[in-house]
Amino acid sequence: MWVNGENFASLKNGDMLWGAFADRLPNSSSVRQSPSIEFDFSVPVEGLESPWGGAQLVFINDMATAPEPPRSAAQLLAFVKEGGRFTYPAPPAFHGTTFLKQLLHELTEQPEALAAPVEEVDFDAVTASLWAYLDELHPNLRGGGRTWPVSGEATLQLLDDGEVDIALSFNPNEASAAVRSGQLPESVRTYVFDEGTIGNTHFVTIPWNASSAAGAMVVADFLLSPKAQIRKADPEFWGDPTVLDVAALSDADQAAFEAIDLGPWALPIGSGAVLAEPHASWAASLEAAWLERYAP
Amino acid sequence: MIATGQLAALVVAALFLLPLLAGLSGTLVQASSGGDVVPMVREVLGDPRLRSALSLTVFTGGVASFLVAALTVVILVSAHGTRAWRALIAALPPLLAVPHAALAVGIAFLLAPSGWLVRLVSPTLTGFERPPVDWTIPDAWGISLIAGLVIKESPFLVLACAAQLRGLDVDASLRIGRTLGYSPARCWSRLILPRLWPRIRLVFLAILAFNLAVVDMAILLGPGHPPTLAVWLVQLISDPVTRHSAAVGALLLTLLVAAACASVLLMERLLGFVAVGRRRSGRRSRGSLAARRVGQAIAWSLTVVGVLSLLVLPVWSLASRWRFPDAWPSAWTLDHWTHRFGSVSEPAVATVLFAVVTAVLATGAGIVWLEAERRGRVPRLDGLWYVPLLVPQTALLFGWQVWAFRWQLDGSWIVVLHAHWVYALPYVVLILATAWRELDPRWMHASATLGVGYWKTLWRVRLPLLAGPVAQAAAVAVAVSVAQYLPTLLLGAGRQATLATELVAGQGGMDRRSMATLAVLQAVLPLLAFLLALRWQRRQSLRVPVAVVP
Repeated sequence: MWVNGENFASLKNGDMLWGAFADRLPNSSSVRQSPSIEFDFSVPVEGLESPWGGAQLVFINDMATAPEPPRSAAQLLAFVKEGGRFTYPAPPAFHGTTFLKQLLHELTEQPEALAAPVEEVDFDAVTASLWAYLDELHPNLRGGGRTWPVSGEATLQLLDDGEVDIALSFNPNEASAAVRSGQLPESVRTYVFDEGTIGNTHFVTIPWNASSAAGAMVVADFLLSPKAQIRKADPEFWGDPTVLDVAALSDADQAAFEAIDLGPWALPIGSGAVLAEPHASWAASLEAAWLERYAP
Repeated sequence: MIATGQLAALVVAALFLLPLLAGLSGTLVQASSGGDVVPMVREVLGDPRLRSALSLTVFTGGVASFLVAALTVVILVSAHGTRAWRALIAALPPLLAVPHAALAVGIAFLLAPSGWLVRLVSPTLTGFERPPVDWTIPDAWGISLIAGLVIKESPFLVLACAAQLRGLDVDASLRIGRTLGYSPARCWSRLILPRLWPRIRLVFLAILAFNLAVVDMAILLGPGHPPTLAVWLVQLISDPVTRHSAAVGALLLTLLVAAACASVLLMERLLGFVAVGRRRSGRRSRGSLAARRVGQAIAWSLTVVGVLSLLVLPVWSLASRWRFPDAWPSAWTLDHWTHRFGSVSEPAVATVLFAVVTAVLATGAGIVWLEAERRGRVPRLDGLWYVPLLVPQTALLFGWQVWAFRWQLDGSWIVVLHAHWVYALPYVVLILATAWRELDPRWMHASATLGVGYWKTLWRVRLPLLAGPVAQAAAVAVAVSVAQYLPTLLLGAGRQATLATELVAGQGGMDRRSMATLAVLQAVLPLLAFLLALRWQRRQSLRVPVAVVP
């Protein structure tokens, strides 16, 4: 079962998972060590789910219109004030919510509060700087902060149309696939903010009432195999960053990973830090607060 | 034999009226299931989002309906009787046949700042190297939605008027009026429009109701934050927690439509008083050629925008690269047709199947009913046929969904087909009724005199003589079925994917070129039906004399 961070948190809370199985899978030995694999939206994984692929918030710019795109929240504000074209999907659209988390991570004076459940912190105090920032940002956005794209995919289309200069994606390789399919021009590049961007790992898990837990483990192990991970990383098929530690693989597998041609359009490997997702409970609160402020 | 006809007609009436009753009552039940109705209503009314959705709905629906009426009058006054009129009347039916969703997608491609219109004139005329930033499509105020509704609904009203004007002898009225020294515009407002209005009143009310309750076009062209009331309700109904708020809201929307219709009727009375006074005043004025030209220009520009919105769809579906400000794609490809053939053909086949079966069953039912009516076996229902066109789809379908769920029919093919049939039947009956009632009874008398029985007369004389309207009605049924979004979505429980549901679901998430492919298919199917109807009509009209002479 493919599960997202919020559902994992509620399944784990409700004790509705089969048990710790992930560390016993043969292929789990080559999984990369990283906080985003040990914690799913700040919730400790503890082997209850097995990693499948990585993802990170990235920005796609067109070198023809914005050769030097903004690389921080502050630069973004300056960019739109100087006539740069930008907008983001309205939360609760996934990319919109992730963009809010990104800004919050950068702007809040209490970044450590984000790892805690939202009920346990002073939400208004933690997010005050975010709303102040957005109040200033919105009038300068495409559509004046009154009309929003419905999804991250829609920002790619707007980028191709020239209605915006920067699009949002949660897949570092999406631009590569989009250029190949003719959805974006060859002049696009993918980048992240200098201080890094929000990223996470997606996982598969086994529910407590699974009729064939052993079979599920075989599938989870297969999904971790170099062969499956190489295919998943190829933009021809999916184009998702791997969860494996490529350096620890056999020479043949390493060569296969290197042979994947992402072109110059995808996020250059190792170009930006991955910031941890806030605790799973933050998404709903951020979305509700955003809607109340900007779309009453 | 007689009983068969009557029984069949009663079955038709039951299959048509029961879902309407069940749907409305189901919505009522659902609205009251959340506990006491009064606090529920108060809670829904107190929701600030409802208030903004409501005012947006009144604004878009009201302005669009007013513009449709105003433009229709302008078009009638300035174009009727000219050479352009005939061309216009020929150009409109295809525009009418195109489903709302496909047209909405085309309008967005056309009118966006980076859309085709700006591309066609940039940078040569505008100097734009990049799309302007002064507007967006969709916009926050609902202007795009209003534009879409006006482009889609005006042809409907113009054609309805054109059909009725044939019985009003416009030329004679104009002649008399002109002889008395009135300008053509005054001849229209004092002699023709007062007689035309009662004949198209219901059509206009149906347009008003549609504009207030439309879902698919409002998703594609309307604002998202907040959306119109109908769109918001569809969002609420999919969440079990807010289901009864959705039902309460659907009843509110029904009340809104009723209030809007009532205020139109009130305005009709008021205008009536004013008009009597003005008619008596005997004031004359000279006609203005300039005003006439402006009216014609408006009519043509609307038609051109409509036609360009349709033409831009195949262009995008064949584009490989098409960047601003190029007027045409820089690279072309068949990929969106071939690569995605699997994912496109499945909903396309489902759409065709629904459309064909709906057309056959609705046309058959219409004939059964009108035959029984002609022979005095059943009463005339007239106004009742308008019920599905006047009651918001949300109000009917939320309740219908409850019944379908109870009888484990939700998501089934048959219940979706039933809904398509219910929405197609009114159009079929309204198109056939005039022809059925006007057919010269002497044909039947002649046939009876020759000793030919009822069935044979129906089959060999009546139907061939009425082949034209029958074919037309079937084509309209196809168009109605292909366009159905909400019934397919709600009763199909997401399991019956048609071009309409795929297209609306693709909003924002799907590659524009794939959207264009779906929209082309959705637009082409009804056009094909109209072409087939036209051909069949011609062939039948050639065969009629042969068939009648024994």
